[in-house]
Amino acid sequence: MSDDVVLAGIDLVKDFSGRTGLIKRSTGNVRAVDHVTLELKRGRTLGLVGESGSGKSTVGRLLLRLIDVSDGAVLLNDQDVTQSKHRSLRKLRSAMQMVFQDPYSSLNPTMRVGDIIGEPISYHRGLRGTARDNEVERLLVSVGLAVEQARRFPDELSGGQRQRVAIARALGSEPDILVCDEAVSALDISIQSQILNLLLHLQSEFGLTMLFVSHDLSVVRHVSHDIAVMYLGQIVEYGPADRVADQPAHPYTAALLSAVPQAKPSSRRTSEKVILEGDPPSPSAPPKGCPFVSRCPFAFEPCHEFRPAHTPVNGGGTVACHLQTSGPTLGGASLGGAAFDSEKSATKH
Amino acid sequence: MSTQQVRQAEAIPRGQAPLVRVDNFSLDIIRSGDPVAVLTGINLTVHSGEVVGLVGESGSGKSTLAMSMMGLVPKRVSRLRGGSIEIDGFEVTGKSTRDLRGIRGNKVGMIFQEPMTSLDPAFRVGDQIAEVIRRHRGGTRRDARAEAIANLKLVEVADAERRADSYPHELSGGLRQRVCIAMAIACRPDLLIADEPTTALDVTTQAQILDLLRRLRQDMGMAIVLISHDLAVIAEFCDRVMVLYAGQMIEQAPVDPFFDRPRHPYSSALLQSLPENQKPLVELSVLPGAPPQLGMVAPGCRFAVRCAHVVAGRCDVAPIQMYGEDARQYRCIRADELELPGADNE
Repeated sequence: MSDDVVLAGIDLVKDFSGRTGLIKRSTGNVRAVDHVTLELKRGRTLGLVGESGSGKSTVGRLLLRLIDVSDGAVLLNDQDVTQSKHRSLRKLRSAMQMVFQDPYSSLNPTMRVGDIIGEPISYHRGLRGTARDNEVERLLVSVGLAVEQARRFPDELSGGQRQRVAIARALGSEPDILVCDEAVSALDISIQSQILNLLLHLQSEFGLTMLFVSHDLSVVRHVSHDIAVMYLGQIVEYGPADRVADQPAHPYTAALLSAVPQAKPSSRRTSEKVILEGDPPSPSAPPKGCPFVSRCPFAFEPCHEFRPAHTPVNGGGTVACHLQTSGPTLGGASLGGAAFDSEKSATKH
Repeated sequence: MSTQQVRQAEAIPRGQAPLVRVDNFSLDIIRSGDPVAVLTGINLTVHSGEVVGLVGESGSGKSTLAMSMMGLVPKRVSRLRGGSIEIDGFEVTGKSTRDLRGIRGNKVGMIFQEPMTSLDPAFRVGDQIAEVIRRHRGGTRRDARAEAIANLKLVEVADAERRADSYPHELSGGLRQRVCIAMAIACRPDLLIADEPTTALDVTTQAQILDLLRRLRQDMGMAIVLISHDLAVIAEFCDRVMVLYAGQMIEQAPVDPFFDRPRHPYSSALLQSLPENQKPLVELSVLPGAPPQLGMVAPGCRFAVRCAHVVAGRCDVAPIQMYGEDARQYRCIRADELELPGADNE
């Protein structure tokens, strides 16, 4: 493995046992993450995008060892940390931190901001008293809050300020890796852009490696160097952000991009929407072949039978799609808009 | 759809009386005994068949305005400070629940952000739609059920007969929102108020729901007021846009001119802070600060403290009026001196 890979998930699998209701009726296992391999490179941001139920948050939690893998391995700086427990896990945690979506439920309402940020500083770095307070002040300033705000309670802060506190807390252990799980999704547009700027700024200041998990493609594209697209527990496409966003090679990526509304009058006039039919299949009963087969306008025989392997794409990255290897072969080319237009009638019945 | 009479879409009648006329509407919310202004001097007209977008950040008053149009703001926590809301000639303000029954459902339907909370988890969705139909029109259970299924087909629910027997938790988010839409349009209202109808949905599902609303509007000639914080959704879906800030209307315009060349600095700053308008990995142009707290508004322009174009002594002394003509209005004293960038900024 090249030495600029900080954190890697190798062939990760996560099954949740599907027991629901009071009487714990077994509904079979749900495979939330299905053989996912990804790498976080030093100082770069990987955007992980997908819809609800695609398993993107679960991947984030697996990488942080917040939940145990069913199969596969997590490597931190080339060391296998999949089985780490207790003390070694605690050390691991100081290297990897997380920022959650909802700053209303992720902050303890009975603690003052100073203590919220101070707790990980004493826990992971053993700083006490004035040393801890100085560090709290430094972090408050670096996330754009006033030093006086250390004495406030979370309910005295706005949503944007709370998210800044959550970020400051995550930085308290001096992590190398920051996982942001829908970190700006609950915020208003003007506040969202402030937090995105803060993340970009912190990355360049501290050289942070980031995993940015979000359903919002325009946000992911803005902050990410590379993008991985998930569907039904699998990564269907991966590559440099520009290539994935401008020349998608997987039909799902193309549909996802086309579904994002555009504010620019110029892009609105030129783009015809691809509207997918129906909903993703249930992860407890996934299709046999390609996960996207039930909604794909291009599906042909092999898609129903075999799961496509990842193949390289021109311009960087990989895609898991039979169009690349058999049938109307694309052989690494992206899906042109024209190809989609001619097939689009197939999506309407 | 066979039992439904579907009205043909009509062109927006100019010069005809508007379907909705909000006139100088001001509303206070009672907070620990004291009235706090949430809406101030709102003027808004919606013609039949028109789609109007209402955009603003949280706390701007956009949802309160929508609730007021349905008479849904509880009287014990609010106080009308002035103005009126007329829907098809019927005055909504100050009316009792009983008086409003003729308007709700028949004239105005409403859908909300979270379809799960607007459906009753204990009843089958078909029965919930049928109940609306029987409540408003009477008739037998059997007829109401047939019509409920027809409505589910109208909102493109596949296998409608079977789905009618589902409970809300058995449906996906997109299907639940379709059920809510079926319920809202069951009595063929002239106006549909959609409060963040796609915010809780995935982007591909959002595209499906917006496409459905677009088609329903075309087939039924229904006017739609779409409330959203998402400027791009407004851009793609609406004919006209109104921007609310701190309880005031600060700009209204037809969609294309608004996104090409906004006239209020707040509108322009919002468009500039969209990630899609910026180079990736470069810091976004940012609107500093946050909207004012309820009731804590400045004496002059309410946006002045965050505005990049503020002129002390001019913007912050007296309340700012609306400038411009009927179709295009903006609440900025400096609008004619400013050349503000829109969504296309390259």
